[in-house]
Amino acid sequence: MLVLGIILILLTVAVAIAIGYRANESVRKFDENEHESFIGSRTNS
Amino acid sequence: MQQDKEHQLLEDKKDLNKFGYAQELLRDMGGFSNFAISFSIISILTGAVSLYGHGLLYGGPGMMGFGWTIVALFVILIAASMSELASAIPTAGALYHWAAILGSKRWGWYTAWINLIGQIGIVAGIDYSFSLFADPLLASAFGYTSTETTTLILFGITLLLHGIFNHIGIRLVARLNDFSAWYHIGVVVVLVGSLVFFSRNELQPLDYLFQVGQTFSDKPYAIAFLIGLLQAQWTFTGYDASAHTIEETINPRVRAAWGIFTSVAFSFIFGFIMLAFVTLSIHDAAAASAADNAFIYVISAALGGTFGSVVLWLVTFAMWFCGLASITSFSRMLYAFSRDKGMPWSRQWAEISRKYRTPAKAIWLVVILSFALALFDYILKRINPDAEYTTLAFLTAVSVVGLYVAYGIPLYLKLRAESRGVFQRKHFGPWNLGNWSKPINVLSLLWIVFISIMMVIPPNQTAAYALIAMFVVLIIMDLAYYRKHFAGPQAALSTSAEEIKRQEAKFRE
Repeated sequence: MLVLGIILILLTVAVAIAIGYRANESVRKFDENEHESFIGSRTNS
Repeated sequence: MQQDKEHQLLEDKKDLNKFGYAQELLRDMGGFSNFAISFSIISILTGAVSLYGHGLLYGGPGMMGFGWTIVALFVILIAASMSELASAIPTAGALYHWAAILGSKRWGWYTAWINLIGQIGIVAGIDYSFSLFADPLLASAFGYTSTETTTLILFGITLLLHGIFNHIGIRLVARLNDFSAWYHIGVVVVLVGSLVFFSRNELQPLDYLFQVGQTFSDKPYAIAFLIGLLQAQWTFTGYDASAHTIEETINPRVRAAWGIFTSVAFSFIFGFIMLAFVTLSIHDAAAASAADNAFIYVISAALGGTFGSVVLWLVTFAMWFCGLASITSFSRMLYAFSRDKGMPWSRQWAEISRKYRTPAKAIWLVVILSFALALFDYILKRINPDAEYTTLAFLTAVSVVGLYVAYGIPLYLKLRAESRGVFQRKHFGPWNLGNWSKPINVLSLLWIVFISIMMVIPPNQTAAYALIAMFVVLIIMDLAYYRKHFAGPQAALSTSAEEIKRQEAKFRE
């Protein structure tokens, strides 16, 4: 079970790092000109 | 530097104005402060410590190795999903606002109330945890007997103090939260160092941490393990605080998103280190799980009475900081919801103190509601003293289900809006997951459904009854009044630029 536990911990850390890396890429590549604020619509009920 | 900051503040204000809202709250929080508020509310020294006995009782030592990590893995996915939405729709209403504009105003209304119920549970649960630890420590120092009544009184005093600090101002609370983040890390280091170097007993071998199959409850191990997950799942709540303080954060589309995500990721790491060493220092797990407070039992047995008390006081103060931050978050959520007139007497709760620029009345409403929830449970226990569950398990189960359902609704609506082509790639904020977004959202939702069921199975069914009762009240309120009268955050879009300027000018005078 020790090995399984260590694999699970490493997997969790790897997932966190991968997501962080992906998000960081997005932040750096973000282009304000291509962005549109999602503000909803007045008729949205 | 100052010019950059002023330029960013202007951009942030413009972003907020697009949603029809004026910049009323003081925008003064940096990235670290935004991270610190969520890190302080997650507070590994509150959730993981106060429910340590619950985890050990049901899941045995393996709960600390496997339970903590499994929950963290899925919560990291949920946090990433929420970070994306915070980056795309940066308003203090957060979950409620996201649900309202991704789904409909009624989705938003229900999300807000479910979030509110969870927030009451979390504030009450945190300050009650503080009282559960502080009361016996004070009792031994001052020579009185700690009872449920003295714990409740201390709980009331703690809420009162937190109310005062939050009322006085965001600057003070932000500084305290910054300190709290470092304090949490420092206390973990002290705790781990003490257990490594000064423990009376030799530490258990590492595989003890992953030992499964042993439960000290009367349930079969698989069920007991799932019930025990409440320990980790409750710890990982409240990180929506980074989104609720979005209108007080500079460059929130990036910083609040990182705040949500990193607070969860770092809590996993530091929490695991702490739980690992506390568990490895257990000498007699059966006795620890049977003790009134398993964590106090383990620390006292490992470090002795006096030194153990010092360490326990350090841990208890961390809980105090956690409660302080949770009231900040809850009051901002109430403020945002009341600003859109979603509650009875909304105008009162949406009022910002001109002197302190905090939602003062919302803060005091939070204090009263949280005390009322614990008082309700206290009275129930007076009527039925043989109840099997603990007050803390009740409060924490209410908060886990309330908060996670509220986290799940906007994620579901985002997926639905994407499939309908309403929410598109161009609407993502700077912090986004690109192609990974949908699979991560789906996994997050599956976990939320699973964990919401697990948290209310016996012996925690009282939490389920309380949640059902609250939901029935919500349906009645909705059908009787709000269905026709609640305009939702969409109504703010009609606010003219002049009106927004006029509202903002009130706070510049």
